[in-house]
Amino acid sequence: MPRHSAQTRNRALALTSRINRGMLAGAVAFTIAIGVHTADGHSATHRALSQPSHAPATSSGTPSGAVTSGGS
Amino acid sequence: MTIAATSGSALWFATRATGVTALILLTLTVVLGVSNVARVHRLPIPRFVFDSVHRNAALLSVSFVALHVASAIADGYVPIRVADAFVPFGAAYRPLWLGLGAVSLDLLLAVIVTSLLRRRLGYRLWRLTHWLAYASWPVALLHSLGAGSDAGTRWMTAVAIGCTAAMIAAVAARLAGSGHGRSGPLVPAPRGAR
Repeated sequence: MPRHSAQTRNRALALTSRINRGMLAGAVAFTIAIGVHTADGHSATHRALSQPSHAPATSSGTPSGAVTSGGS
Repeated sequence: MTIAATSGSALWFATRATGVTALILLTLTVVLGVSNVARVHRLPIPRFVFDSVHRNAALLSVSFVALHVASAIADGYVPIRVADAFVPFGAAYRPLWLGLGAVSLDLLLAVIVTSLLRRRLGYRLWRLTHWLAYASWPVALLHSLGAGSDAGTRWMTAVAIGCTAAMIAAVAARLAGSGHGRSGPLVPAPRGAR
């Protein structure tokens, strides 16, 4: 196993700390971004489905362009 | 406003988001573990950096899995019980795909617990159970693709492809490293053995 000087070790410890903090921040930020993204998609779907009087309907009665599958 | 319009589904969105994040963190954990045994210590970075990030990624992954499970149960939109998170294939809702998630969680917990008890268990047993991590990852990926509401979306496809590519690259590096005659422990040796 390679030996490292005290200076190298201290730098590595600082690097480790930065990586771990960045990983936590990145995970939280990514989760929020995905949550907002999926919520926006869900909201857009509901908006599209809530305007049947103006949107041209298909033979199945579904407004053209509305997303009817996927999501929760 | 999105938040006001979808507040009733907030837990469901949290379930989906934390699940994807947990998959990425699990991928990072396994990739770091595989890379470590691929002898990245040839780089001018002390090995404990990889060990520490690997360990913290694993704990963060379990934390997000806990949030994923808790929000899915609390949401109540689909019938998921606490037991369904740990006992495979007994759920009323998508039993196969949720069962795969339970299997993955059980394997991950086994790896975490044995890692925390590594000094008591001994290196050989710890190393054997640590191989479960390799099984946990593909099962988690299948769970994400089968049970996830976002499986058909472009971004989820990109996440799945990215995670798979990272795993393939890590395993390839590992195999290439072992092919150069480097022998020794497949995982970092316990401190007492160094």
